This record gives sequence, C-alpha cells and structure tokens, in this order.
Amino acid sequence: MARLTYKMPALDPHDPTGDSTWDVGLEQGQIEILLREDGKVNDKVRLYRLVLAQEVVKNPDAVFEGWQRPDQDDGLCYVGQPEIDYIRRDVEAPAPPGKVFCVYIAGSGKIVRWSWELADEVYGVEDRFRSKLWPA
Amino acid sequence: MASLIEQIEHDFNISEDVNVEFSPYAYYGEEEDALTFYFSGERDYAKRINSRVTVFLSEETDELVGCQVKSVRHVLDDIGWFDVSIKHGKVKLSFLFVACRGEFGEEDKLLFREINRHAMETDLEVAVPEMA
Repeated sequence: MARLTYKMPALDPHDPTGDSTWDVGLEQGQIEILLREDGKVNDKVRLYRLVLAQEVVKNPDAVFEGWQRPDQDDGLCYVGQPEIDYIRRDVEAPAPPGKVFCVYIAGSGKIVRWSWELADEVYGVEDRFRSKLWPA
Repeated sequence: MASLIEQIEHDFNISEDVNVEFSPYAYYGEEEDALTFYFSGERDYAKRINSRVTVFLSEETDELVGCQVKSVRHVLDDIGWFDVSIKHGKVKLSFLFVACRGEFGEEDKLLFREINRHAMETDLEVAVPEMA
C-alpha cells in the first residue's frame, strides 16, 4: 500500500454533488527521483508540473475509472485543461494546443503519472477507460 | 507557487540551478506496476502506444524523450527472470526493457530499439522491491 508523503485534496468522483474530496498524493521516492543528491532539481518539468496536477485533481473537467489492464480496475484518470505549462520554477509557458493534462491515480490515492496528452486520445478512444465517473 | 511545491522545496532543501544538466532516471512503481524512464528533461507530452506502453515525446520536436511500460511484474512473473537478473533488489534497466520487448508490437520495433539503446547507454539500475 502506498505511503503518501505529499498529499493534496482531489474531487471525489463518486460523489455526484461534487462537494466531497479525498486525499491523493505522492510517495517520497517519487519526489527523490526528480532531484539530485545535492538537492538541485534534475527534472524541473516534471517537478513543477505538480502544480498543474494539484489544480486538475481539485477541479477536473472529467474523471475516468479503469485503466484496462490487469489489477488496475480501480485506477482513475483526472483530466483538465490548465491554461499554462511549467518549464521550471516560476517560468511558465502557454498550455500546449490540442492537449489536456491527465493525472493518473491508483486506488490507494497514489498519483502515478501526471502529463499532457492529446485530447483526442483521451476523450476520443472508446475503450481507453472502463467508464466515466465525473461528471455523472 | 502552490503550497505542495513549497513543502517539497522546504523538505528537500531544494535550490534550483538552471544550469544543472539533466541526468536520465528510471522509476518502478510497485502499486501501479509500471516502469518510467526519462532520458531528456524537455517539455513533453504522453502518447499511448497500446495498453502496456506509453511514450513521452518532446513538445517542440516530437522526438522521443522517455517511456512508461506497464504490467512489468506480470511480464517478469511469466518468464521467471528473477533469479538470474536481480541483485540486491535492483535490476538493470536494459534487462527490464529486453524482458518487456513483447509489450511493443511488431510495428513498434524501431521504437523499442531506440528506447533500449537509451537504456543501455545510461547503465541505470532500478529498485524493484517486490522482487528483492
């Protein structure tokens, strides 16, 4: 089971009112892998895009359930459309055109991937996810 | 900047240096049973190849900058690789990619070769706790 060191509130997609939240987050090792041993940031893009992840899980445009692979039936994908992207700390870029920001969350609440994807490949592929949870 | 990032910066005493050169890295997540490998720090987007493989492409050039392979443990269980290739809970990244060759379709052979070439160049090892 994941030990979430860095938590953020996410919309609870099982509550149709949209009023509830649950904690999702990252394990310490997921942050450490983005850093160097001297404390400097190795992967600035992935680290600072966590700001986008935080925004999307709180106010998603859609939440899908079921990653269509073994033992991952309860995996979720939160999808949103932030207006900016991050290059590094405090350095922004316009959001890439035609893409949406996806945050993949395992059943325990562990965020396992956060990335831009082509919107057509998220919304337009019929068997990509088992079902859409939000909006109901 | 959001509070989560501030907490991380504080906890890890992060000092950003824009001149730091990116080092390739790989991470195996036990719960999601997925291996993530980045060999470039460029802005990227994810492109799904199939239900087991996603590649990360440069936002600027569409060149390959990394990939994620899923259901790794299932693959290794099937081929019974543990005894011969795992030392101290770590596995050579290039071994993992060779083991996962079947997750790439025939039409993705060139893609697999490019990823595996990067994996061999880095000589990275990945902690795979379930197999320790």
